[in-house]
Amino acid sequence: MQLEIIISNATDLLRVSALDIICIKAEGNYSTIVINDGDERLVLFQLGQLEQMINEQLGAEASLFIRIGRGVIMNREYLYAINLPKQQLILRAPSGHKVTLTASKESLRQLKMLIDSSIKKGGNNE
Amino acid sequence: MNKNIIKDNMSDNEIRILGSTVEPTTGLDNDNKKWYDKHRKLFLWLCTVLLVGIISIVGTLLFLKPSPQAGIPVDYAPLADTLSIETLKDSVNVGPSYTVVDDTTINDIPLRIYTPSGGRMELAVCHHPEKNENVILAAHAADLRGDDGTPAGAFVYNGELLAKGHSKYGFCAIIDGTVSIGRQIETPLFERAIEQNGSFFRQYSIVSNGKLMPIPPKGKSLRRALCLKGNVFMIVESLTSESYHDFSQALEDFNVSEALSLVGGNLSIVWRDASGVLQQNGEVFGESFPLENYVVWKKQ
Repeated sequence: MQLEIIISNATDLLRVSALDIICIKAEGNYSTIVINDGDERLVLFQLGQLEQMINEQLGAEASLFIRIGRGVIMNREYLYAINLPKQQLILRAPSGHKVTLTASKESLRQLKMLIDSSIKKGGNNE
Repeated sequence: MNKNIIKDNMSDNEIRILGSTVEPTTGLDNDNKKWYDKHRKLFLWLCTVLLVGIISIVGTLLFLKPSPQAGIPVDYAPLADTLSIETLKDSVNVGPSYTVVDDTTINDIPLRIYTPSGGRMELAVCHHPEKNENVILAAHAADLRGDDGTPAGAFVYNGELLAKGHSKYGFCAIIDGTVSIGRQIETPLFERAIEQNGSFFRQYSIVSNGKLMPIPPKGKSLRRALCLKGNVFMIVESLTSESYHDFSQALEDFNVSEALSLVGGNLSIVWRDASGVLQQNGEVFGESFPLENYVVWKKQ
């Protein structure tokens, strides 16, 4: 299974395993890719452009990632906590590195529903 | 990749699983979402118009409503046809000047009646009216606000406007020796007091045209009022804690034609008895408030 993502422009290239990406945060016209070892890389692409790259390079495996509103693409494997009242989304790598994000209540509510429904589906299969 | 072809149509309330062709989830079903997208501008425009309309209506209502003083409840609105202004000129001193004090009971309410004789009524801003040797009767007049110590409601002293407001519809105007009390939200006596170096203050009108007036419920307390009975101004106070309603009813039954509440009956009142001795009852106010004020009768 090829889960490698290559982000390349005229001057820079970033090659990273999709499994190592905790999330990608929008920074205006740029984006920051947060790696599970704590490294953060600013790339000169908008979040929508990166979303399109991931779709093109990973195909169906891109479903590893979920876009939350306009500001974040998160790796669902690192989802640690959702707090609706605080509008907080916390991602956590096995190394202990945590990323705390804020998002709209509505988007977090939908994310929670999505995760809840996947639990129920898993339960039915057993 | 050509950056220009990217069209990011996500909103902050959507999520989307990458690699899928499914439209972003918004919490609306597809039909509703399509309808919403199609009519989004119209919907937002209608919301804006509705919001502006509501703000305009509320703003107009607030603008038209007389602003009450902070923490001071407003009198119930007066009816135009209940307006009553009684005017008379206190007689200039002939003979001795003193205050007659009588106790009586009306409707089981013990009342004390202070009737000044041979003096002229005025409004005084001072701390210790008893220090004036000409004083024959003095009682606190306008309520002072707890926040800044200014009188509650319009207050004119010797032609100088010291406070504004309509928190109470009753008024007392003293202009060139003529005393007027009544109940009216706008009265020309206010402007006249300023123009002619007179005085003016506002209080609750509790009896008007011989009938008790409704007052916001305020619990029981020792009550005091400036009353007009016949052609005589007097001060009447309750010797027991009473509601405004019961006190007003007693004054109505006492046949006063006008009554204006004064600052609570637990505060000091000063009078000179028939033997010329100055008497004092109640708590002294202290000197915390520069605009402490009294209705004072002085011999001329």
